[in-house]
Amino acid sequence: MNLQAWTLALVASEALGVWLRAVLLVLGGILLARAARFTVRRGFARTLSAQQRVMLERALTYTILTLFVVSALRQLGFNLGVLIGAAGIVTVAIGFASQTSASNLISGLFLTLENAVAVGDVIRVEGVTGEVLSVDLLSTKVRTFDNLLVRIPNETMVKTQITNLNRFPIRRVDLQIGVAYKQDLEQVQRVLFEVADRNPLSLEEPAPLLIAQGFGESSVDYQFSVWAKSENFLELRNGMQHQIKDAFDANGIEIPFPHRTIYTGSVTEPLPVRLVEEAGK
Amino acid sequence: MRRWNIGPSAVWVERREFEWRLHRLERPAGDDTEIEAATICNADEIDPDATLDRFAVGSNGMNLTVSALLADRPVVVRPETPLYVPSGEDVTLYVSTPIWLRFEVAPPNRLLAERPALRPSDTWFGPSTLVGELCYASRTSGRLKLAELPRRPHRAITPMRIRNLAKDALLLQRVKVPVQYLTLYHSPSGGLWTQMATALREQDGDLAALQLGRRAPAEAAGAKQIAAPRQQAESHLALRAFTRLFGSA
Repeated sequence: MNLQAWTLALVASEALGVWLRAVLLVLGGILLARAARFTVRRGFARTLSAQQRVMLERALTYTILTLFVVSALRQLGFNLGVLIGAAGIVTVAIGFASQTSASNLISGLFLTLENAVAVGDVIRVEGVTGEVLSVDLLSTKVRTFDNLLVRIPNETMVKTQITNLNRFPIRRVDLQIGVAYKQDLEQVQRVLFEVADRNPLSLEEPAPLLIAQGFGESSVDYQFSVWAKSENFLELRNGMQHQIKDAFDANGIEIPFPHRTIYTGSVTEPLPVRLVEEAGK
Repeated sequence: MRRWNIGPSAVWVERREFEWRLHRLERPAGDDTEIEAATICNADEIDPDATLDRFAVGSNGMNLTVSALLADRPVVVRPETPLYVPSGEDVTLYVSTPIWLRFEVAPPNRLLAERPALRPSDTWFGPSTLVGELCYASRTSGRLKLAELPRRPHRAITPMRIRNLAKDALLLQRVKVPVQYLTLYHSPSGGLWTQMATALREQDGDLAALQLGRRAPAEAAGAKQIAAPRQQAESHLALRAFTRLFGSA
């Protein structure tokens, strides 16, 4: 073997070693990232929510992979200063182009950290009511009760008011009821409380509450508030309305519709009145 | 087909091929004292308002067991009117709580359903609407004299002893009876009982201890156990916040 061939073989074997080291670094990075994900999944199963665990897993995975890929590139002789400079320019360009996505991404991070909503919660956001399916990086997916998928950008979720309907175990059902002016209000009150007492889904404590709302155009208006276990909210609301109607009918209590008294005024003609005789009289 | 009339509730159990049918009706008159077990009846006797539950079974086992057990959540009982238990006093409040019926078929042993003899109202027991526990509300109030407690076949009596060791009087408005930890007994003189539960208000007034008796109470001497507790009382059950047993202070 002449000197030139020997030098070429040496250079080739060195280059092969460099490439091998780079590949090993990347593979090691992948293995370490997997181990980190596994540790987070097992170690934080109780202390962190599912969303927070996924965030932590992703953050660790990407950090570890980035570090190892950068080391591998250095092994291969890349000048990282140039790469970082280029990456900076690209980042600025991408940043301008994807302001909305970045805002959603940051909002998603805050949403997860704040633990404002969790998968399975029933929430109301800007008129949309439904069950949370997932809180992703850019958006929150909600299934409405008529089975539609609504994607709410995380930025909206952070900016707007979110109502969580099942965070607490019990909920109040507010029923608006109007009764005729001629009714005995004591009797109305008694009948309403009896209806609540008979319904097993209506909680005995906190006790039902009757609030006089005022004298309406055609009725004395009340708000009757009863408490229910959150899961029974709808069943109690429906059941109570039926039972109140039945109890009012049974006790001769009128639920009035709008009444109008027509005054013809002193200068107008009286209203015509027609007498109708019953058949057979 | 068999019919059970237990107080205000009636149950018809119908056996069909590969199927059991359970028809159930709660009558609004909650103070019915009638009791009638496994009477043979015809299908046309089923009340049309009864609710139907159907259970599919793979084999044609014919043995049906109906047993009584206590409620699956604590029951909150009030005295007739709120009363004070002075410092150092030791009183017994007799309370009655509704029983559940357990329907099982054999062979092989299969649980069909557990249903209350009379569905009690839900109630919330806790210092606020955020903190507390969902319980059942007892329809009858607790009495200081056993003779004054209305006897009902669908209810079990628990002597609830309350000892106030604190320096101030205890205003007793409601008390939570943890029936899921109690054993159900049947007394030879009739009626269902549980062991005595003692609620002890500790000296500092903020803590209360709950002690459960190991056998049927003295008032039901010779009673036989008919159902084990649904949950085994754990050692940490003994001492708890005062508000968890007596509601607000």
